[in-house]
Amino acid sequence: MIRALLDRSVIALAVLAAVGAAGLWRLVSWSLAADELARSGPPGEEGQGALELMWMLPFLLSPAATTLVVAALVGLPLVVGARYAAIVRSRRDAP
Amino acid sequence: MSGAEFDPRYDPRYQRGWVEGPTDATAPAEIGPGFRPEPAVPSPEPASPRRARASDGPAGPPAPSPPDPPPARVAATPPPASHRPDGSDDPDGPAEPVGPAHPADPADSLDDPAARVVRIALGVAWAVAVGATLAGAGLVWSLASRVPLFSQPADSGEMVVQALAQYAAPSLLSTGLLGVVVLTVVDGLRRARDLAPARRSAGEEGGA
Repeated sequence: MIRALLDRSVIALAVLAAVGAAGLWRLVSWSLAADELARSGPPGEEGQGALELMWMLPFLLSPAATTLVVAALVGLPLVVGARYAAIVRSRRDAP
Repeated sequence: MSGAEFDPRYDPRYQRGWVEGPTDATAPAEIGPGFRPEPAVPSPEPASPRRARASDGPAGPPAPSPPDPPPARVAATPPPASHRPDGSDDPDGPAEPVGPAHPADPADSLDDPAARVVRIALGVAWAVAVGATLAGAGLVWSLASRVPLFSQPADSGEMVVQALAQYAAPSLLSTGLLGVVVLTVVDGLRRARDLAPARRSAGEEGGA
């Protein structure tokens, strides 16, 4: 039953949800690190660029990562439920 | 060949001197206006294209010399479904390709216009979703690759790109990824919908 449920769409949605969650965790970590770096003192020339990047990227990418996680988590039960219902219906109708 | 060589009352294919043409459907037209083929099997109504596909399989070159006129072939009774996929018991000509025209999944037939429209629409939707995702990622990359992140843009074009990256890139990425997820869900639902008839037909064939 489990193997029958593992369609390519189910696997793709699980991968997208995992990628979104990992990206979101990475962005939050960057934001926290940027705050820590800013509190530790005035950064140098390269430190200033990295600080701006770690501060800017979460604002740009976190909506996409959140959308990816939520959409994949909404879609996964739909696809798994549809496949489960189809399998149960076909077994019930089979002679 | 000329029409005077054959007796117009009978089928010229069974007369002396008949040379087989490329298709049998064009043969009576070449003989002359006097020839009227005898209806070997009565065909009260022309079969629909979908039924013709169901009985004859995908369109292909007809058999070289069948004894029946073309309408009789269209109206012929289709062989049992269990003999169709392999084509071993197909008396109607070469074996039909197995796969897209599986009888358990008529909606995904390559010859079905509705299925083709759906496939084209899904392809366009996939292209838009992937394009939006790539455009958003490119804009974010163009902004992140600037050495001083908040430096003044050199020209107006760069300023436009920077403004787009700040205001449009998050939405482009979000909606593009949302489209990818939605289309993946649609693909999964379509495959789940096709799962039940395929298994049902497999059960019927196994039980028969």
